Amino acid sequence: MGIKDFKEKQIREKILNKVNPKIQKGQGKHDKGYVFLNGVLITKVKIPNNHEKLMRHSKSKYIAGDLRLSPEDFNDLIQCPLTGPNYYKKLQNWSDKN
Amino acid sequence: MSNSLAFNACLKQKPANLPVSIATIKRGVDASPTNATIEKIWDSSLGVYSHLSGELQSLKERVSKLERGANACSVKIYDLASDMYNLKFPVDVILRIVDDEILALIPELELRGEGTVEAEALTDLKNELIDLFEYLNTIQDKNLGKSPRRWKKIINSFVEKQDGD
Repeated sequence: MGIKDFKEKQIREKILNKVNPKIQKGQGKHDKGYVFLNGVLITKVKIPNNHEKLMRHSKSKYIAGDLRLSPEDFNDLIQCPLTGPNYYKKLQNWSDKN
Repeated sequence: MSNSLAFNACLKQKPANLPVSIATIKRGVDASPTNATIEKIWDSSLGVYSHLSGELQSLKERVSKLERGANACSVKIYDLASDMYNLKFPVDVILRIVDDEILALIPELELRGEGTVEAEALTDLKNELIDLFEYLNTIQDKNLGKSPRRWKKIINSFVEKQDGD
């Protein structure tokens, strides 16, 4: 199963609210989010802008990869079943294996 | 039923007698085929079919690879379009067309620039590179996970910040 089509603003909102990364507003046109576990930087994610535009699997797969999520888990993150705390449990599992 | 399905179904049911015309063509004489000849032709046909199926599959895989390659190419960037930051050497970047956008990728750093045209995507990537360089160098190595530690090592190997005057 692939990633569903989501609006860019929808992805942005869920990343900000659930993953709650440290934000860097740098020179690039997108915000960068840095995801920490117990004070250790685990990954980074390029956060989409607040646009209505639909993002398709071919592009959103990079964001899912940044967040170390499978397409199914990414869908859950954006659609709601995957909560912030559960995201961090998954990230901990990923980090333990890698 | 599609032609290939029909042919597959046909192959599974070996007929008692093949049409005389096939045997005639095979033997080159106008005579009724023997059972042995029919078996031989049948086995030979199966061999040909199996070979062609393999070839077809191989061609499909090659076309698929070519199609994927047609959406991507490799270019080099030579600077970071900045007075403060330089590249120590040219860096390989993959340009990939995704839907109506172009992505500029450095897979080793999991970094991507985006734009509607190549130049825009490359400019965005250069900014991303500077942002990542700056951020990673504010964090001590002990506070970096495995991937970020690798990114820092790689990015520090080819990006340098100029000393202020």
